[in-house]
Amino acid sequence: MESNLSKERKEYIKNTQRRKRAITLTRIGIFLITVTAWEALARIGIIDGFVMSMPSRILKTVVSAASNGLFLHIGVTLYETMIGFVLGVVFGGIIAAALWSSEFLSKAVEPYLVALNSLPKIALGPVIIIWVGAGTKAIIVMALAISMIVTTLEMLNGFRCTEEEKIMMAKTFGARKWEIFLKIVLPSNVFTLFNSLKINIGLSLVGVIAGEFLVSKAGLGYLIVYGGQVFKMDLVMASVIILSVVAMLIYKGITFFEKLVLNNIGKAQ
Amino acid sequence: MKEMINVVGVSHKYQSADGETETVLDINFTVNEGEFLGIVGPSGCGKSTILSIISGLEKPSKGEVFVDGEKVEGITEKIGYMLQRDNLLEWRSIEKNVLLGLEIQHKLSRENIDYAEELLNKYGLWEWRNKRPSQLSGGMRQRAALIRTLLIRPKALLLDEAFSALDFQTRITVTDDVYRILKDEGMTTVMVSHDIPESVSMADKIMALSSRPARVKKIHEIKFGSEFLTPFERRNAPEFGQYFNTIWKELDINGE
Repeated sequence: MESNLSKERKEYIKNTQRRKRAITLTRIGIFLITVTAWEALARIGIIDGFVMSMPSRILKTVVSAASNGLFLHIGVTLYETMIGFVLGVVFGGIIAAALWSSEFLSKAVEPYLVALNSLPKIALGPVIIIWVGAGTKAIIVMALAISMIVTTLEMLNGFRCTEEEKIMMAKTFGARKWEIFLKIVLPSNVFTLFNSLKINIGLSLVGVIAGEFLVSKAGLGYLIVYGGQVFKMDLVMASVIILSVVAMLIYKGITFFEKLVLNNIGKAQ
Repeated sequence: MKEMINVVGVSHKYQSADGETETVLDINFTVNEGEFLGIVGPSGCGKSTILSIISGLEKPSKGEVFVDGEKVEGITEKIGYMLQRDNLLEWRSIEKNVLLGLEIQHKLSRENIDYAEELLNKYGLWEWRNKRPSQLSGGMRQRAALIRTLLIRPKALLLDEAFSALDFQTRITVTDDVYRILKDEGMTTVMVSHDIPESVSMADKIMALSSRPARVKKIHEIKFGSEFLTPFERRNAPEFGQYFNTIWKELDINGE
């Protein structure tokens, strides 16, 4: 098999592989250099290890926190994010479907949507706390407030871009509005749906952290605020790093799910 | 002969913010069972509006349409309507695509599914039934779209520039294919096209329209010798050029 390949082909394959390897090495390099430089500068005393923290102390904090409730905090943040995410997708989807089905309704509420969309939702914090109480509920509502409008608009935009002639085709068979939605619009928008899922999960996490800053007894947002208040920069940094890892894993999870679904759709039934 | 489509004194006005546009004016014609009517006219003259009115998608502002003796009020299941593109859905297999019309009309009975399999077999798509639309050639896709429409057992078929999205070569083969299927099934057909040769090669009658608002200028009887069976063969018939010239001259806007 190998011998069948032309010289140019072999050359091409070798080059792409070499390039791939170089990219991976560079990535690892960036990490190592940053960590070493940070550690070294803090140790020599060029930067203040107390204010800036340093990798060895962050690692130590993570290890000791691991046996001391860290997973509970990660779990709480994940749980709140997931609830915010699911509710955001469900409500956002329902609202988008309703707005798609009625041009009248969508025209009527458009200015309000625009206003809500541009409002920095974090400003609603105090209102939310007074309305639903200072607890997990407030955090979830904050996550919803931040993620739902964007999800709605993103989905609505996708629904509206459905090929007009395909809708027309369904109409010629006498399809009703909800049939057109289920049989044509929704399946045409699988890509848009997954895009809005990705946007939604990111924003839910933002909402949850913002909520945890305001009211919480647990969660990564709580750890960050608590660490800041007692000036434990190691804890703050450790929490931020864990948060970014968590965010990345969630995103990867959705991408994986997306591939799974698209592969299934791609296969003949 | 039985009259399948009857259009009586139909006019249509289109309302928009800019005002009122008369698209169609006092149209009268009849299509008999199994007959093929071609509608030709200058582009934008309102040809497609006539089809929309027959199918019940649009209401005429004046006049009436009867299909199989029944007045058309709203979308009617007696009409099959084929648009410019095949509009097959990529997320469905060919078989599921073909069944879409029946599915929407809640008519997925054993009998109808058997009929679907029969037509897929008859028109060479059986081996392709589990494939995706993108795996088929343009011609096969058009056949699948036609079967999708035939399965709802329409009394008449409307073709709206149904081949215009295809390249020239595919178009010629698809025309032959579709023509054969329509004649096999004894389907009454109305086809709107800006392509005069295509219309002449398929139709039994051609209705020439004026520019907007569309009025009937003349209805031409198209007759070929019995040896010219397919649209492709008809293109080589001696009468072909004659019909083409007559209709071409009639549509000539400079001559008005």
